[in-house]
Amino acid sequence: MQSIDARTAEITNLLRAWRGGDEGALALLTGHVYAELRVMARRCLKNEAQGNTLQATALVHEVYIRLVDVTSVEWQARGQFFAIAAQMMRRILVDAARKRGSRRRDGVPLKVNLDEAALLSPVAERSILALDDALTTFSQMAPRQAKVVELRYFGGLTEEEIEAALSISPRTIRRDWDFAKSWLMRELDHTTGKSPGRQL
Amino acid sequence: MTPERFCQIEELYHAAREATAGERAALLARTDPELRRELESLFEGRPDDEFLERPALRNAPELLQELLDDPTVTAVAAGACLGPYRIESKLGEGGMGDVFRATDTRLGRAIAIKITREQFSAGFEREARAISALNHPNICTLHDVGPNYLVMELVQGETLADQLKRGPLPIPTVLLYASQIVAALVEAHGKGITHRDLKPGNIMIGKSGVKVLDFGLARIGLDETITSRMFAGTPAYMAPEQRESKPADARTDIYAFGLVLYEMLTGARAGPQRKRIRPRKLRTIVDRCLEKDPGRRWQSAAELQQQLAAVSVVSRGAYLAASGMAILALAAATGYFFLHRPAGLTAKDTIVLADFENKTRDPVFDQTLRQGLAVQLEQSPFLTLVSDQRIQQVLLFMTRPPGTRLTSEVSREICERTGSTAVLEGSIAGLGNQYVLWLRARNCRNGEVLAEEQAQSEKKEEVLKALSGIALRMRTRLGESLTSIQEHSTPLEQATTSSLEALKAYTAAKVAMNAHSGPAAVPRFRQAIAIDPEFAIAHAELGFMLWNMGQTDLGAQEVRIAYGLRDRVSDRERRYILMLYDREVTGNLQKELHTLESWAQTYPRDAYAPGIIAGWVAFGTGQYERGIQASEVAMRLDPDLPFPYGGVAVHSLALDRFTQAAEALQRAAARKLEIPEFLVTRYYLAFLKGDQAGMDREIARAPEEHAQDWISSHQALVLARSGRMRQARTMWEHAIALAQQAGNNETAAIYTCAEAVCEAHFGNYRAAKERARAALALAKGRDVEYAAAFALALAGDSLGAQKLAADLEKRFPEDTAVQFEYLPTLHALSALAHQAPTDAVERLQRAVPFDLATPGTAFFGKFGGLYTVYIRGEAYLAAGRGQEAATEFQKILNHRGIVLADPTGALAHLQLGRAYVVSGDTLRAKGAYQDFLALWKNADPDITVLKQAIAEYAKL
Repeated sequence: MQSIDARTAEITNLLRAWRGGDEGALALLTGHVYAELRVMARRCLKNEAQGNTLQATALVHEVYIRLVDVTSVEWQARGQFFAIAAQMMRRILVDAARKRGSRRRDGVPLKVNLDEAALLSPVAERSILALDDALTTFSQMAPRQAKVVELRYFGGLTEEEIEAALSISPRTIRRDWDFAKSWLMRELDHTTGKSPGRQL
Repeated sequence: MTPERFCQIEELYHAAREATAGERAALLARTDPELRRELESLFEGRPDDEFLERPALRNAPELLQELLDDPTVTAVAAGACLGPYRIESKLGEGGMGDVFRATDTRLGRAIAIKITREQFSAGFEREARAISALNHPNICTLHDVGPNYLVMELVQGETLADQLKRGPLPIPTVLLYASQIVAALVEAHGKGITHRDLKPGNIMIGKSGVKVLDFGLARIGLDETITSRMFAGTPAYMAPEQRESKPADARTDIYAFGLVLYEMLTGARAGPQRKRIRPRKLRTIVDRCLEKDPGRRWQSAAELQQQLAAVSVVSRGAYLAASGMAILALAAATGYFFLHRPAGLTAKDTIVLADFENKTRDPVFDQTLRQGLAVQLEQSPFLTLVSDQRIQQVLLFMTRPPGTRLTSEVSREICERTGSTAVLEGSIAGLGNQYVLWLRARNCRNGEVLAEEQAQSEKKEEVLKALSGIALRMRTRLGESLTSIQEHSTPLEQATTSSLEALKAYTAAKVAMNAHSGPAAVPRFRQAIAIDPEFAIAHAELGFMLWNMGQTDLGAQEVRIAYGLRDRVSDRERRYILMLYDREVTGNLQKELHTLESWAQTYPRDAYAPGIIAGWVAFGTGQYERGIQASEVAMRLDPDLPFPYGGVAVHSLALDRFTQAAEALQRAAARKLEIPEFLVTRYYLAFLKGDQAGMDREIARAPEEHAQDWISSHQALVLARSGRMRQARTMWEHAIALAQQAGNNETAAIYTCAEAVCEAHFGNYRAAKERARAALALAKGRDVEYAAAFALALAGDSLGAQKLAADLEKRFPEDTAVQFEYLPTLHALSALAHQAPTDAVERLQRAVPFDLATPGTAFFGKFGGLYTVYIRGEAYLAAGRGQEAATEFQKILNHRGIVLADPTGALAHLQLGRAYVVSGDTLRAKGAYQDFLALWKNADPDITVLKQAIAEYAKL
C-alpha cells in the first residue's frame, strides 16, 4: 500500500478520535489545521503575483488532502474537517486584520504587494473585524445559521459541502444564509454606518 | 432578546420571504408593531445581493500580506511542517536565521533548512535558481528556495570555525582542506557565482570531505541591487574592496580564502600584523591572496589551485582519496583540471539534437544513433533537449515538411527559433575496419564550438558502448557536475538495448508515436521486443500505447514485463515504469501520484510528469482543478506537447467550464496541434451545447483521424440517451465491427458493454444479458468486467454479477477505481436485489470521496460517470427516502460534463420525478417527468422504461 507519512497518520487519527467523541483531540487537530492553512496560504500568496487567485475552497481542499489519509476515514469526516478548516480560516483572517490594524496605529510601515499599493485603505481590516464581532453575537442566538456563514463566507464551501459538514438540508442552508445575511447586514449598517462597513 | 423572540422573528422572516407581496403585507399587518419593525429593518438593506457573496479570502488578500511578514509563521518547532519538509531538530543559529534539520517527506531525504528572519527579495529567489545548479562534492547543494527559507543538503560534521577553536591544524590537513575549498571555488566561479562570504563558519568538515555552505548568496554581476545588507559579508573576513562597497569578483573570494588559509595554519585571525608562515611556498600563496589590490592577487581560483597542488605532491593523492571518486581520478589523469573557461552551459540552457550523419553504408545506423544519444542525454537533469514534438512544430512554422532531415543548418535555425543555446551534431564513419564516432556542440548564436568529442570502436556491436562514453564526456564538457553524472548515467546498453537492430526498430516506433500513429507504432515496438526480449523500455512504451488505445489488459501485460526489468534501466525510465505499473497493473492512483510528484521534483524541467498527472491520475481521482494546474505546468515547460491542451479541455469539461474547455482546444489549434482525442472532446462540447451541426462536423472529420469506431460508439450513446435504441444498436454494431477488424478486442468489448448497460437501464433485460456475455467473451479487462457485471446486476443475474465482482476484488486489491467505485456499486446493486436498500446506501459510503471521479469506463468509453451517485439515488428511492434520492439525482443533472451522453443523464429526470413523488412534491414531480418525456419524445415506443414512465405520469 502507499506510504503515508507519520504526520498524516497522526492527524488522521486525531480526526477519527474526535469524531469518536474525544474532545481533546479537537484542540490538537485544530492546531494542525491552523498551522497548515497558514503555511499553505503563504505559499499560495507567493504564487499570487503570477496570477493565481487565492481561493479559500482550494486551500481547504488542499489542506485536507495533505493532512488526512482519505482512504482510512469515513466519508462524513471530510465535511467535519472542512468545518474546522473554515473556522480556522476565519481565525487567520481576523488575526491578520487585528495585527494590521494595530500596526497601522503604531505607525509601523505596512508592506504591501506593489500591485496592491492602491488598496492601502483600512477598509478591509475594519470590515472583517466588524463582521467577526457581529457574527459572534449572532451565533449566540443562532449558532447553526452563524456556522453556515462561517463555512460559506470564510471557508468558501459549497452548498453540498456545507450539507455534509452540518448534516442539514440544502433548503435549510439557503434559508439560514438568507436570514443571516439580512441580520448581519443590519448589524453592520448600525455599527459602522452604511456602505463603507459593508464592503464585504 | 429571548430565544423565543428570536425564533419568532426568524419564522416570520422566512414566511415573509416566501410570500407574495400581497401575502406579505397581510402578514405584517397581523403582527405586533415591535416585531413588524424588526422585520422591516431586516428587509431594509435588500436587495444587496452582493453582500458576503464573495468568499472572505478573495476580498482581503492584502490582509494575508501579514502572513508573509509574520515571523511567527515560521517560528518552527520539531514536528512542524513547512510544506513538504518536516522539521526534526534545530541545528544552530546564524546571523541570518536558524538552521534546522528536516526531512523531505516526499523523498524521505534528510535535509537542512535555513529559515531567515526576513524575507528574501524576489530577485534573490531568481538568483537562487542559478545557484541551485551548483553540483559539486565540496559545495553544499541548494535544493529548494522559499520566500524566507533555503533547503540544503544536510552536512553532518562540524564547522571549520569549531575545529579551529581547538588550535591550528597540521599542514597535511590544511593542504587537504585548502584544495577542497579551492575546488569548490573553481566550480562556482566557472559558473559565474562568487561566494562573497567565505569564512570558517561557512565551511563544514564532514565525513566525505569539506563542504562550503551558503555559496553564492551573492553573485558576480553588475546588478548590485539584488544584495541586501544581509549578504554584504562578515566584516572580519571582508576584502578591502568589499568594505568600500566596490563590486566584488572572484578575487574577493580569493582574499577571503587567504584569510581562511592563514587561520588554518596559525589558529588565529589575520590582524594588521601577520605571523610568519612556513613553508615558504604556502607563505607566498597566503601573501598573494591577501594583497590589498585585487589586481595583484591570484587572478583565478584555478590558478590558486595549481599553486596549492605544487606545494606538496602528497596533496593531490590526499585530495583524490578524500573525495573517493574514481571518476575524478580518471578525469585528473585526462586533464580535467583544465585552465581555460569551461563550456559555460547552465541548467537553463536547452539543446537541439541534430540528425547523425551516417557516413557508413550500413543503414542500421540511420536514426538509431540519434535515438541512443537522446536516451543518454535525457538521463541528465542538467541538460534539456528540445523535444521531438516541439521540433516538428517548429518545422511547421518554418514551412518545412514534417520529418525534414535535421541537418546542421536546419538544426541551427531550430535552435534560434526556440531560444535554445546549442546544437549537438554528430557523425559515424567507417575508417578501415573501425568505426569512428564524432560529436560536436556548437553555440547556435555565435557558432562558437563549445565541445568536441571523438570515440572509436573496433566492432559494430561496440558502437553503442562508445556512444555511451561519448555522451557522458559531452555531458561533462557541457558543464554537468560529476556527482550529477554519477547519479544519472546508466550505460546505453542497459538503459535500452545492446542490439542495434532492436534499437532501430524502437526508434522507428518512437517516430510513429510522435506522429500519433498508434497502429503504426505497436508492431514496431513488438519487433524491437522480438529481437531483444529484455528491452525494458520498449515493453513499457508499448504498454503505455496499448493502454491508451483501450487495450488495458494487453498493456498491463507489457508493463509487468517492464516492471520485472526495471532495475537495469536509467533512473528516469525506472520512474516511468513505476508510474505505469501503478496505473496499469495495480491501479493504485495514490501511489502513481507520489511517483509522478517525485519525478517532477528530480526532473523539474520535464514536461512529461505534470502532463501525465493531468492525464489520468487527476481524472481518476476527481481532482480536476489539479489536472488543470498540472496541464498548465506541462504547457509552460513545453508548449508544443499536444496532450496538456487536451488535459485542460477535459478537466474543464468535467467541471462544466465549457468556455474554458473550448478555449484550450483553440489554443492548441493556434499552434497547429491536433490529436484524435481533441475530436472527441469537441464532439461532446457540441453535444452539451445542443449543437447538432457541431457534432456533425466532428463526425465528418473522424475518418481522417482514424477515429471512426470511437465516433460511432459516441453516436450510439447519444442515440441511446434519447431512447432511440434501434438506431443506437446499429451504431454499436458498426463500432464493434470496426474495432474488431483493427484487432482491438478490448475496445470492442467496452463498446459492447456500453450497449449492455444501456439495455439494462432501459429494462431490456434479455438483450442486456446477451450483450454482457458477448463482451466478456471478447475480453476480460477491469472495466469490461465491471461494466458487464453492472449490466448483469441490473438485468437480474445477481449471481453472475457477484462472481465478476469477486474476480475484480481478487485481481485488483489496490486499484483505486475498483475499490472505491466499482465494488461499492456492485455490492450496492446486490443489496438492492436482496431488498436491502439501507444496506446498499451503506455500501456506497466508501465511494463518496470519489463520487465525482471519472472511472475507467468513462475515460475509455465515455459512459458510467457518476454511477455511484445514481445507484445511491436508486437505493434511497427504494428505501422511501424521497428527498435524499432527489439530491442524488439532482447531482447527476448538475454534472453534465462528467455524465456526458450516458443515458443516466436522461433517466435522472425520470428518477427525480419518482423521488419527488415519494417526498410528496407533486408539482416538481410533474415537471421532472415532463423533462424526461420531452427528451424521449422520439424514443422507440417499445422500451420498457418508457412505458413505465408514461404510466406513472398518467397517474399524477
